[in-house]
Amino acid sequence: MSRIPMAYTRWAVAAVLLVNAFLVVAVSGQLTNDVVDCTDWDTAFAQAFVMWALIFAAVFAWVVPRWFLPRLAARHWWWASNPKKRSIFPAVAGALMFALLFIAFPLLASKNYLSPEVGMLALPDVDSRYASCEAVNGSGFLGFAAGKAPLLRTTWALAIVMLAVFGFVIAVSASLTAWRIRSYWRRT
Amino acid sequence: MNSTLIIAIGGTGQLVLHYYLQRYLTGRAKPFDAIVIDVDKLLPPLEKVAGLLDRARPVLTDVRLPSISYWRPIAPGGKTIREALAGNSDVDRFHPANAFFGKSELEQSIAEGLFARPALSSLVKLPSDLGTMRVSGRRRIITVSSVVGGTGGGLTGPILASLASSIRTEHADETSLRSVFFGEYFQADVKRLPDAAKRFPSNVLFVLRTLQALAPAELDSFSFVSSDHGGKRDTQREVTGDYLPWPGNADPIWTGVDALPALITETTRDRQEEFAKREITLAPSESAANAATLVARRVSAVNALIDRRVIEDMSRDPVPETCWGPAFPKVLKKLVSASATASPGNSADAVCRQLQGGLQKRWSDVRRVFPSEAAEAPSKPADIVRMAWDPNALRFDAAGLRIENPADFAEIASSVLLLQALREESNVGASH
Repeated sequence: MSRIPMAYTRWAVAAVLLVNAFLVVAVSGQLTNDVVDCTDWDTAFAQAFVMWALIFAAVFAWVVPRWFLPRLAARHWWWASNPKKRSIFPAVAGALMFALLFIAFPLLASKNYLSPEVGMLALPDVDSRYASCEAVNGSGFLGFAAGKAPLLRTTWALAIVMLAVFGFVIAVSASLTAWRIRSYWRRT
Repeated sequence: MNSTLIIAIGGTGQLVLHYYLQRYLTGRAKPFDAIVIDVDKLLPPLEKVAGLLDRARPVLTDVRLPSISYWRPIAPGGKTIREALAGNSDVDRFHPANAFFGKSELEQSIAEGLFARPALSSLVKLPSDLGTMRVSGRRRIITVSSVVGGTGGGLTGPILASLASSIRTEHADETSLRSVFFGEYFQADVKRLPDAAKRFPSNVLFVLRTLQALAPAELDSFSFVSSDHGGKRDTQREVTGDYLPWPGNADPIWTGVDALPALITETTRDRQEEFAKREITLAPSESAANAATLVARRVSAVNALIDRRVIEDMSRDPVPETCWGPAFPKVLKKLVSASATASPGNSADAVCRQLQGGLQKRWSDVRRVFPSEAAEAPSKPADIVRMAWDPNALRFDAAGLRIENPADFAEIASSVLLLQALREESNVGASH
């Protein structure tokens, strides 16, 4: 019987460690906000953030490398036919796109480098005034090390949740991949 | 045994066979058996291809593969022709050989073979295998030789006679004997052969008149190839045989290569008593440029298979069949399974790495068979998918086949992979 490819086993172990590490850091921040609208927008933002994190993770870590690229690109471009590049390139592209839309843009808007409309472009359900909300109380993520604005705190905390989600998806994906490869190459 | 047998006589015969084998390897010729008869050694590229085919044969038991045999005529003892005939090297001593051969012929080294002197063929003995070889079961036997050269000019007649005798003895009425004769088709190297201008036409006349008088009735037809504008032969390069360039459209060698499939498929004609009436004129079936492009494309695809380390990567791919189609991963799966005897503890990943390495090593040797200009046409992964992968052709369960040595396994597996990789899927039916 063939063994599980070592590369995938290493990825799975690394991803599980990352998940645990980031979850520990993430729960150390308590987020509160006394302004009612801001609290509602905070909740809406958090919901949209987590939902899109899951969608991006599923699409860029699973659908694109496992379904889309093998069928539509693998016979035309060498990078798409290589299993390692086919996994890494879309994952990096997805993570960058996500970071840009859901972290960088709102952050830049909160610091007035971008208009709120542009900053909250990917979050149509969250009011654009959310960018100007300020923290009233609470311990804050890592003692407000990243700033006092709720958006900032929310985003940093959620970014970590997102990483945890990504880590979890990668761990599951790597385990399934290893299992699938092992089954395919089983000697008959 | 394949139904077609090509007998390549002398250097020209070997050269034509060299290109025709490339046509086979790239899927443009049907399988055939070949016998090379030459006083000189077998061309290295022919040796390489023969090795490749022999390594793959135990596994591709249901696939008809060409076989290449090399039969060397038995040369007389002694350093020079004079020594061989007279038993000494004394120029002044009388010997009847002086009456039949000129001074330059008698001084010729035995190591040089029959170089441009067909008359010297009377000194060599045909390989004994030729007399015992069975011809029944063959539909076509085609000899390829130059009537200018020593070996071709001198041995073609006796070989045709021997084959005709076997046909008669075995009552092999289905066997049709055909020939490609090359006349003067290249410029001689005057440094090596100062009297070439006289000698070559004389050789042609001598051999053709002999054939006219003595060619057996079983010789069904022949094609005669010659050219007044032939270039020089790069004999030095032919000796090593590495990366020999593809002949051009006007090159008589290409005319000879192109004549072979036509002679194989041409229907048997009514017997002609008169030798000259047996000559047939064949229309070109494919241009040399097209053939060269095909070879370049196949070489480039195999290069990509190796340079991109496709086999190694495939063992880590969760969806190999989606990327590469069903056939190629199944071929590798079969090889991974078959490696159990040679490398029982190895993972699929390790076996594929070993296969990739073996293929690279094999290709670095076989690549030299193809022209150097047959290179860098860009390849896409689709070219790998379109290779003639056939998992059903691999028969590791063949009786008596047990490969226990990992190096042996790597050699056999890489030969099989290479033979399939060099062809395109659409050509499988035509060739196997």
